[in-house]
Amino acid sequence: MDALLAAVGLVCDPATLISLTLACLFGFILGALPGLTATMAVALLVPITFFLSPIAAIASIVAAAATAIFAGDVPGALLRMPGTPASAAYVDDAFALTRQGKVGLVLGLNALCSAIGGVIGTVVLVLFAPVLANFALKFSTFEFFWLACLGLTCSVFISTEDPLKGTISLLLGIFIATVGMDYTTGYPRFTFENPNLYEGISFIPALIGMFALSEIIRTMLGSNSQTVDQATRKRVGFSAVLQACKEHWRHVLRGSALGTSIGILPGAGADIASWISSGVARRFSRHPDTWGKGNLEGIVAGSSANNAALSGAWVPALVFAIPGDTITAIAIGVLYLKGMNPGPTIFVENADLLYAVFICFFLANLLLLPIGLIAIRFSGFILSMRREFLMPPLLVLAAIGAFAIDNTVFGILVMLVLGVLAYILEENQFPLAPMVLGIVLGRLVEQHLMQSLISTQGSVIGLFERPMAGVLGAITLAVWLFPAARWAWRKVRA
Amino acid sequence: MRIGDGLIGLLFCIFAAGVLLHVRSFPTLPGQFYGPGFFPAIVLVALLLCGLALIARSVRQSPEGSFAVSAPAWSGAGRKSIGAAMVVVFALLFYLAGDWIGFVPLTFGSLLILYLWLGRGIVWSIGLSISLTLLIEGLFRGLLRVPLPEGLVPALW
Repeated sequence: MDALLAAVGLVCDPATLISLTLACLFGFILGALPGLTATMAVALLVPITFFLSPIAAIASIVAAAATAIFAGDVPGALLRMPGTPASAAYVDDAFALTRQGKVGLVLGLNALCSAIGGVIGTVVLVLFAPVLANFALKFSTFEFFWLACLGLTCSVFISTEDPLKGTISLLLGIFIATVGMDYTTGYPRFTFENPNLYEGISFIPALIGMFALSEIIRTMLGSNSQTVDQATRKRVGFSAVLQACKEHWRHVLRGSALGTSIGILPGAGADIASWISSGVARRFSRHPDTWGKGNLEGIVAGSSANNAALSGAWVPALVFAIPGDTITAIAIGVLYLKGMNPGPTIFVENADLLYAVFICFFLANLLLLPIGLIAIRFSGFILSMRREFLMPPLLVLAAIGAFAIDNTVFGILVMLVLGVLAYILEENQFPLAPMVLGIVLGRLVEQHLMQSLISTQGSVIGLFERPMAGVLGAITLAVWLFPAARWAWRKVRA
Repeated sequence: MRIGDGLIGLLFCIFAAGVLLHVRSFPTLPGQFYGPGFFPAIVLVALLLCGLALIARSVRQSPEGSFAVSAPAWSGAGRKSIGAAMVVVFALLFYLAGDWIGFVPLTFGSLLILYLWLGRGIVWSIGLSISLTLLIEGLFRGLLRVPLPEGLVPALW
């Protein structure tokens, strides 16, 4: 109790509260800009944390990350240009709802479900951190391989009514991820002796090209150029957002639970959590035919999973100093800098500081609600403009965003090539979302597969030998074979 | 531009087969069946099979249109297609000339030309282009410390 009271005192320090609030706004701006990620927002805060107290420093990082992940939903809903790969899981439904004038409902739900997911994830973090960390550390390359495969498979089921085109899109994305030096041997694959390709194709310029540039081209050609006029835009009070959240409470809880569970696994992250959560929501949806046309279920499930995964990622980080994602990798460095050495002893030696960090988690996630309100107000300004007048600055932002990741103009070429390809594919009803996830997770899938094969001396059966790997592998294979089995069954019955 | 599914499937099959032939030249790990070409080969074989499935489905569902290419809806709207082409050209310009011209002149130039093309007045276009250039330059170079190429114009911030 003494530690808890001390923690409250630390958090109520004006410097901590101001740092937390400013970090939220900073994270919101960066997360909303295509090409700038939550990881970048956190990395940019590190020099500032040198001048802050330990709690203010950690509070800033937590707040910036939570807000940036939510902020990625804003351009996705307004302009169909998701700010983060996690937001791409439900961008089609969000944009469809905006076109129907329900932007307030979409952004309100994004903010509320992100806040709920973040709070649930934080509760799990506070109550079960040591226990969950032990479980997470039992995951090896075998389990991660099947989990990544399951995530990729979910993206096909989310994306479209046409799984065949979704699968082709996914395979294209995975193939793009194989460009670069091979993980096991360093052999350069499909690099055309261009040094810029040795590290592979960076997924941020790819994401910007596929969503932002293709959408800019489409708008300039005359599609999606209308404004959503005032008469169409429906003013939505918070009670309507709350009501929508209550109607989909199962998806909120399931998304939060999935997000936290996946976030706990080192290296998994909010992206895969959002996609798996949306995929499961579609699987259990009573209206699967409305997906992509304004269905709220994917938005609710994905938004909850996003921020829940952020909190979950701190479990292995705090208990074992093993980062759950790239953000916690940076945060661990800051913890060491501030004398809060992560590990089992942190719960004893720095209990008051740790409780203060937990309180900051709650505050950061709750601050998403007023920030969501700002986003909704701001959206009115964006939506009232003729859409094509937004395209020139968006083109410049896209180019600079693609440059900023690796500080090389090659990123702009990647953006351009994939943007034109994405435009052509979408015109022919190929979904983009699986391709994005293929690019993001393709390297991870290959890395874990190759590590597993090396450890089993090439035995494929070894991929199923561990109990958890066997379960995940069986689930994944069942999901892969289910459509073919159902088709064959229908043929037999006919 | 609408391309028939059969033709798309065929293109994917040709692509996958071609790259598979190239992947066969990759080395393997000594004494093992896998190497740098193993995973890409799995992906390409799957792509080839999906391409064949797409061809089969397209031929079964609509044999006439499965290998056709139809003109896009915007093909008669010259102004709009030029606008879209300008987007591609400016992106290409950022790549080809970003380092030696610099991002400030390219940003200002692309904003100005696009706004004039979209029908805004000259004064409005120049004013907005200058303001946005300063804002974007300040945000990325000043606040976020992104080393944007200066080129012909020194850094404004």
